[in-house]
Amino acid sequence: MNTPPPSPGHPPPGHHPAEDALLRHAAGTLPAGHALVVATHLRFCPSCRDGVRTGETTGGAILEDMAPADLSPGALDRAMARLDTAAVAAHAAPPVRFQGVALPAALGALLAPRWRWTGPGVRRIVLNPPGAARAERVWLLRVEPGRALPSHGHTGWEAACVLSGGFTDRTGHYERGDVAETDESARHRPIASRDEPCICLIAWMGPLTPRGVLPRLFQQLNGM
Amino acid sequence: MDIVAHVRVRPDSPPPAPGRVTGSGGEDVRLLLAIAGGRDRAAFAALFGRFAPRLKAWFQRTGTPPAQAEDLAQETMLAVWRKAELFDPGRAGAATWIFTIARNQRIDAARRDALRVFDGDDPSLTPPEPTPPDDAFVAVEQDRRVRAALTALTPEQAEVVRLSFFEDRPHGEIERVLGIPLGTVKSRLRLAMRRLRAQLETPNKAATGDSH
Ligand SMILES: [Zn+2]
Repeated sequence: MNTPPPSPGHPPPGHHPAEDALLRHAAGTLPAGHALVVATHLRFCPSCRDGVRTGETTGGAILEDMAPADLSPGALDRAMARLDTAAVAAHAAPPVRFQGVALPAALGALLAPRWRWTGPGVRRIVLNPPGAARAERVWLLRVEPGRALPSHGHTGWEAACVLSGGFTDRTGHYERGDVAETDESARHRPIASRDEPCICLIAWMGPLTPRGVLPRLFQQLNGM
Repeated sequence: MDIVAHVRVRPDSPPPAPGRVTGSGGEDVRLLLAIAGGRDRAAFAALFGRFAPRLKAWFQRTGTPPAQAEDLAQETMLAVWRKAELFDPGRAGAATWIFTIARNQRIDAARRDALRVFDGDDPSLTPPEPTPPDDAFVAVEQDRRVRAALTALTPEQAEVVRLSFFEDRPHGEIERVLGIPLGTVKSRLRLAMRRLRAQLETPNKAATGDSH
């Protein structure tokens, strides 16, 4: 299949969303924040674009095999009557160009970033993608070189995609385009790489479980 | 469900009988191209007759009430009319392309005040480059292969794959229907996806999708 070439000068990502996340992305059933993380990763990753397309092809086969439902009388006539007045396709918001990659329009805050202090060496921009659940948080996070986030666990899933720089935690080392997915049980303390600030898109569900007084204060100050 | 049907490739195949869509991937491609190239209303009516009842059935299956399911089927078919120029038969079969539009309609409907951030901006909907003529019916072959790949899954794997397209909310639904833990659902889905990808994608691209 034809896919855009990976961005010049960068190898394809080494850490991908799990296969079930690619399938749910194709089916349209991932939570909004998780879907945005996967959509962002797809801009870096030809292999996962193929995986999502496989999921979509599966969706096409399932649609074809649905037993037809009865339409109300005159359904076709009503559709035909609207063809001439059907508005021209709504113009999709243009992608956001960031360091040579076209990212989803929902990351528009990257074009004029207004970072808010979040903790020592850590700043954030809160995003509100449409459809996000009340307990879902979606942030752009900027961590200065060598700085760590407070050690924390999760009461729900977390998914992150690195946009610039890199970080390391006990599950591995993540660079530009890489995705890190974490489930409820995991506890981790991500540390930004030393060479440049780490900018990530990060989405999670449910409150975090910080360990220690400072991390708890950090959480209370920031509504995490 | 019948997933072993043979798919016609010849673009000049006779008009299909009403009823099952299965097996008419080439005809659906021809109808979409007729809409894209000539705003062909008869082609739209034929495509509507084949897909609108199935779209309504799918929207209902995902938990949408019947009246709203029919509205969404209508909106999906109107979006097919408007966006037909974006259809690229070298990248997706007709049913696959229509499915992605229906999926985005459902996401949009679920998002009150939704800005259309994912629709259109989705790389899978926008052809990055013109399709070489030789590829024009690749998608029909792809449709045939996905059906073969689905039959190669175990019944348990095929069921979690199918149910994941019928969920009315993220997570939990499959667990509830099948009475198995979420961890089992996920591992079945992962195995199923790996098998589908191994059969549908070129070998060097498949099997690289594991993150941990
Ligand atoms: Zn990937």
